[in-house]
Amino acid sequence: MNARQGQAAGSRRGGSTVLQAIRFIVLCVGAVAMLFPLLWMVTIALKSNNEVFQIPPEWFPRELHWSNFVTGTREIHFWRTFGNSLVIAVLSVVGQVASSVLVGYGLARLHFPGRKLWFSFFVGSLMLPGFVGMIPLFNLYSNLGWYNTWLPIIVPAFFGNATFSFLFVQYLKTISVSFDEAAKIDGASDLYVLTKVLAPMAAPVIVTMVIFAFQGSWNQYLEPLIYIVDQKKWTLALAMASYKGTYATAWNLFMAADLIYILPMLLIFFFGQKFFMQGLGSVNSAGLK
Amino acid sequence: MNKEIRKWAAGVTVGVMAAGLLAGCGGSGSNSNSNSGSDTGSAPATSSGAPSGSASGDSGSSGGQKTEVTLMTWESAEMNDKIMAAMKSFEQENPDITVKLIPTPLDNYGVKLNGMLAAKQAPDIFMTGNDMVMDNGSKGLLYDWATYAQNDSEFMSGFYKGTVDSWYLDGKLFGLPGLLNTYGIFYNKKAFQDAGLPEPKIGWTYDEFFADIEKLSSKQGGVKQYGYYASPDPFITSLYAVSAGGAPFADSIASPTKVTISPQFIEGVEKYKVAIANGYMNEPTFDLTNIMSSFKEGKVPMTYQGQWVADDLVRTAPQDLQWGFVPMPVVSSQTEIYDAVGWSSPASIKNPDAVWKVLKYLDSKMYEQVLPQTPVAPAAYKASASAYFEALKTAGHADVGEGVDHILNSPNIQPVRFLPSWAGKANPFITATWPNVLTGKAPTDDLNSMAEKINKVISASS
Repeated sequence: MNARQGQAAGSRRGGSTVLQAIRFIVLCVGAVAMLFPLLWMVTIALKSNNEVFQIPPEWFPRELHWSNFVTGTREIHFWRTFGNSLVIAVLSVVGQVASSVLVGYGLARLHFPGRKLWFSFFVGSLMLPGFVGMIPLFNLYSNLGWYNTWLPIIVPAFFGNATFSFLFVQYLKTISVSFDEAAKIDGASDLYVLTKVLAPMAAPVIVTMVIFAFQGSWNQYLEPLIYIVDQKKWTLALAMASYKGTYATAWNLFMAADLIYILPMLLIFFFGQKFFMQGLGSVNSAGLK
Repeated sequence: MNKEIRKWAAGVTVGVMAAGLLAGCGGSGSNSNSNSGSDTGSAPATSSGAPSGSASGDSGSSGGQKTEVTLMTWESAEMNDKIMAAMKSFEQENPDITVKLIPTPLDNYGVKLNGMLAAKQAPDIFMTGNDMVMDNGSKGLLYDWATYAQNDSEFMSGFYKGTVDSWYLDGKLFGLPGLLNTYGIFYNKKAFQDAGLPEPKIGWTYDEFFADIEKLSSKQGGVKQYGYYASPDPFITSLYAVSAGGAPFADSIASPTKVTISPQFIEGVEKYKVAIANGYMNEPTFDLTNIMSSFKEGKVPMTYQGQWVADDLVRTAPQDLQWGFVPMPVVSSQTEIYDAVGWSSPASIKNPDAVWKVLKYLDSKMYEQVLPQTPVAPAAYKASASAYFEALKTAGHADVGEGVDHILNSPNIQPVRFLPSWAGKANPFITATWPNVLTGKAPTDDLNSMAEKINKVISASS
């Protein structure tokens, strides 16, 4: 290597190091921005109520109030409402994912008259804000006698989710139909093809749907607020909101309970993130088709 | 074998989920009790006979059986426990009536209530704001207590003068005020001492006020400290106008028919404009969300707040913080902001006699027992308000009680905001014009155009 080549190689290495450093700094800034709210929640959860709004703010509490986690959960009957939310969330996830997979398979693989039109309807329904259907649905559920029950929150999950159906359709486009044909040649039914051939291959997008469905149900507030009256049937979102008083709010207790509230979501995302990234990534490439 | 185990596991999981679903789906025609000590009934209540839910307002009584009266508040769990503990005394005095609490979060309380009213599942008594009363009352959703009020003049005369008036709509009484929110100025005594100023007293003037905020503002080490932290809106500025002998911004609390920009109103606006331009007080866009934290740190000389912050200051302010409370200043006569929350009932209640008894107790004796523990606001019922004042006196802040009492006895009261349902259409005109006028970005004449537009909205809705 001559001097000029050596110099060029050195520049490339230096440039690469500089770029890496910039990338690292940007990622660190992003990580801090993402982690800061969570860590601030932890510090508030461990403070007394007097210290919460202290100026200048103190990062470390003067005294660690671990009892906030006990007091905070006791005040709002946390574990009962946690159980209620879990039941509703699991059923909603099962309903949404199962029905959306069925709908998505039908739109992607079955050829029937009006298939494209139905697909357009599904995608078009995503443009409608949720509030548009709130009043007519409320009237429907009231007349059905579902007021003060979990049915208005759970049953609609079994009627498909337009977004998830769209995701599944797009993902199936990345899977060759030769797999279906091969299975059908061996005598497989459509249901068998879906459950035994395609679903395992579509695990990333199904896990993505599970994560989104769980998140949506876990954080749902308005529907439980409107339809549930009996406090024993409250979801965790309603229980958390009851911390807020007209004149004062115990923010430290709220944060303590909130940390436990977000734990299931954090765990689900932590264990499912690999599939989640695969699922979203494949949809991105499939969307071009 | 593995397949069988998987089948069994799936079956058990589905069974558990179904059991959970059924547990949450029950409720039709059954009276499920609320808990955490909030259901104080000790004997079975009469069945509501409602088609669904336990929160029905259809509480009926029949010959000697207990009547259940349901009650809903937006208070926190802690406050609800105190309210229901107080209601135990009522139940002992009235053994034929049980009171059942239906808790609900504060957030989107109005949405929840509207749903319950629409489903005819509203509780017999629920907490409500004055604006919600006007809105729901105009739609015929609320019970008219006018006859009961007329027949119980002794009880009705116990309220602070003028506080019940804005709960009437077209001659019908759609609720009773419970707690009153008063507004005044919390000040730092040390800041006044350091500036060589006497502390503000009841009856102080706007000239003294604007002179004080000038002297209390400073800039030390590049950090700006205003003398006064507040967001004066047209309703607050209307206090200046009326005190100076001018017309109020809104001519009525419950049902304004017009808004007026009087010369005295303009005079008040100009004074606030000068204060903002010179840095004596904050601009309209200043974020006041956590101003009380700064106040506790001793960094705020004066701030306009509701009296409820006194409870928080008593409990959490540092020991060395010397603070006081004073009503708004005057030009010549006293006028104050009126703001109340209270109680209403749905039009569908079946046993108004029992509900009226509970309502009266809630509005009077309940507050006598609860307010000493949590002195957040004075009761609209005079005899119960004394409990609030006593609690403040015990905490060493009789000045707050005196100031609040002075405000409540004001001969003239004005609205804190537009209450009728057209407020949603009128308020954007204020939002679009007011901050620009205060900061000098728009001429003061724009206020006339703002008033014109609001008056058109009022005319269109009448």
